[in-house]
Amino acid sequence: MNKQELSKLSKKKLLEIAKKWAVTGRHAMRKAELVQEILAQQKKAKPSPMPAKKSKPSGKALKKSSDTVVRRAKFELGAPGKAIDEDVFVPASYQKTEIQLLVKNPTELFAYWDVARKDVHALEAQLQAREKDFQYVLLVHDVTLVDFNGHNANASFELSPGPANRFFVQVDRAGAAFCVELAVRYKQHFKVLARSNTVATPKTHKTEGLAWAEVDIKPIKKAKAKLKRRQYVKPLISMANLPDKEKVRTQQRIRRAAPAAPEAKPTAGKRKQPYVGSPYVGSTYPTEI
Amino acid sequence: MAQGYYALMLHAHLPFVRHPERDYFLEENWLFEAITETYLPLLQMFERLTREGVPFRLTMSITPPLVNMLQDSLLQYRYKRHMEKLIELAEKEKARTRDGREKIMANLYHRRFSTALDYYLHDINMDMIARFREFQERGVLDIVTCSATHTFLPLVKRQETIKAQLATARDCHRRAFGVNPVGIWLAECGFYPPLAPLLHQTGLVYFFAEAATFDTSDPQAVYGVHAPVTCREAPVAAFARDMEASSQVWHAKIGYPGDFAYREFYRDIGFDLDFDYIKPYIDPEGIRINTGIKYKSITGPTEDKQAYNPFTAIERASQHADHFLSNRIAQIQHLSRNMDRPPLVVTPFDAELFGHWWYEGPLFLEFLIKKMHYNQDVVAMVTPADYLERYPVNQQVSLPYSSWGEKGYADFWLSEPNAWIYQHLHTMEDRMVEMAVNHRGAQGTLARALNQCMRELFLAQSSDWAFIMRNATSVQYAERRTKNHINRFNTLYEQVKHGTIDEAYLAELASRDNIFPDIDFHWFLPEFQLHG
Repeated sequence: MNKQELSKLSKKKLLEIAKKWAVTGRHAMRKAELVQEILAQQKKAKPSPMPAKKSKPSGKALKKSSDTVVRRAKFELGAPGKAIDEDVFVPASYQKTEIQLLVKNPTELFAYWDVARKDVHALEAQLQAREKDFQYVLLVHDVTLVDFNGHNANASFELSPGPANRFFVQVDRAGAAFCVELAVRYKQHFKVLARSNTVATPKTHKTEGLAWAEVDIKPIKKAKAKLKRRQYVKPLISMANLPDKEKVRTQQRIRRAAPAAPEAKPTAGKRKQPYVGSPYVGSTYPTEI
Repeated sequence: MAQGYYALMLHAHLPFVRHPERDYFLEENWLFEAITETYLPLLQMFERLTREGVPFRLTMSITPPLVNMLQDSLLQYRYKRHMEKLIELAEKEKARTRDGREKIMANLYHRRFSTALDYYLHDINMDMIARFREFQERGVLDIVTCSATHTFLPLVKRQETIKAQLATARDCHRRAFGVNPVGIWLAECGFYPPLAPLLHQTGLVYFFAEAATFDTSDPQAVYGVHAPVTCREAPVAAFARDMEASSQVWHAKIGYPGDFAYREFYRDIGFDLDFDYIKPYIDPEGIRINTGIKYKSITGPTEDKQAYNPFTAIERASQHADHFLSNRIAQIQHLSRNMDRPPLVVTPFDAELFGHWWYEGPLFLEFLIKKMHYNQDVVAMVTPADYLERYPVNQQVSLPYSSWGEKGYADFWLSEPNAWIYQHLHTMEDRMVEMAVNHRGAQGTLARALNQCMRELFLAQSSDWAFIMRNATSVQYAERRTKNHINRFNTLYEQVKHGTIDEAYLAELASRDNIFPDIDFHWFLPEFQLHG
């Protein structure tokens, strides 16, 4: 989409598009800024995330973005994939009160949680309030070198994750251990519902030292010995019922599969002519592409 | 005696896509395109090199899903059908194109596709895995495995799952290639320290890690990425990719594949030609897709693409191989002065980069291998296993959590578009372990249902779905696949729980998701031991 087309759209629509293009900080932007950001992203990225019919990005894109561009090419068919027509049901909740923590990178964690209906009802009865009135919060604890018992964290902070049941938690501390608790706040009440697993963020600073250790290479020796035994035992192919053309092929195949001739061993010291690698020199050159 | 070594590692992988319920399925083309453009050209290159007597050592990971797909008779049949269509199109193209470069290319395409199909049907009897296996037995290729369904292991919840993934991969590898794997490509290079002992128990000796981890490891690796390290957690070795060498091939800005003389990936006759003409060769619903026949070169940052000249491109591939080799020589000579052992440069790539994305890629590799053999004595090709046999004692470090994705951690597989999957995947893991424990020793239908649950879980865990969701290529498909497997798993789980297994449903699932015929749900038991 070009600038004029984008400018005509409502801000809501623009936000949707910006989301597709993963524009960061989009909610704080004004309309004009959004348009600008989207255009910039479109320029940066390669194919449009919207189903592109004909217009295909060109080689210049290859020169622009990171190496995932290259890696995604194997999934590039030129058309957006189709849905599979099968009834699927993916539960929103597994009726199990829990919170799970994952490490995204040294400064960011990811938490998702699930609250069973029966626990919600119990809570409603206890607090004498409806679920929509109380607030789910996350308590993030730094538990580095601590056997956490709920009260002895090195540091803690509270987050309001909003209505979704997952949240990316910024911790900004590499090489530290964290644990998160899911809790409910309502007026003066505060109740912890579940505690997550403890995870450690990877450390990013450099350390020095030197020690040596041997790799256990027994499996290599075993595998190589096994391969060596098999090297000269080639599959037997019954040629009795093959048509003539096939027979020739199969013979060729067996010949090729025969043990390599002695001169095929590495030619140490006795090199052949330098390999220029021009298509017009030498008979073995692949002349086709 | 060489002053240093070069290890080339090709990671061949595609997610398991097989849809017997439909006659044609768009996403199956991922496999067909990769076979035509990458896997067959690689095999044909191995044939040529062996026939010529050029010694080489190459490492390849052929992942379990790929093994299963390449051995699947339905997909083999469909590949044949796909190729016959493509050859028919190439024939028409020969007639359509008048003269000049397009004509040359049309002829080349036709010959190339016909030879490929001929080779596939007659020389290797549609069994590519057997051919790869033969090359491993001849000692030119080292094949390594991957987690069962290319699962990004650091985001897996339970150790039981990781053990089952590794056991499945090892089992699949042994059946396909006749030996246990000694190396593993951790999907997306995803590593975290508790993984090392499990790899060791599986009988694996080495894995590949992201380069940056050799800097932040404890302690920092003294030789950088130019020698492997031994993990502190277990006696397994880690090799890291050399960024300098990889980026020459791989980097989107400065890499060889962006050369203006090379073929442009995004200009395909599936889009460029008249709809009525191309209609029989695109999606049956009339959606234009890539056909694989492309006539344009990259040309430059312009929409006005020039015709592709194969002869210039061949020359260019040769020059690039020279350039790459001379850089490796210089690098090795520089490094070997400062090390007590010959330095090693490791470059892992997605195999599909060569041929599929970079059309001239396989040719580049062939040039490189030959030039390395004939033209110099400084660098020799090895596989990581060869290197470890010679130098088993390495610096001991503890590697941190890492991946080769954006920023070096889990950012790519744990982001806004795909973070929702983990709640489901983790619940499935819990339920799988629960079922394995409750039904230990089950037989018959119950065992089949549990094994099918395991397949559904593994298929849902494939990191490709998260990758695609984030990458916005075939998002709908990736989301549906994930949801399908979650749904199928949970349906079976309920049936197992209530003792009401629907035989017909189970049979239907088993015929669709038929990956890993010999899987065993007992691998999910907490007491299951990987070694022994």
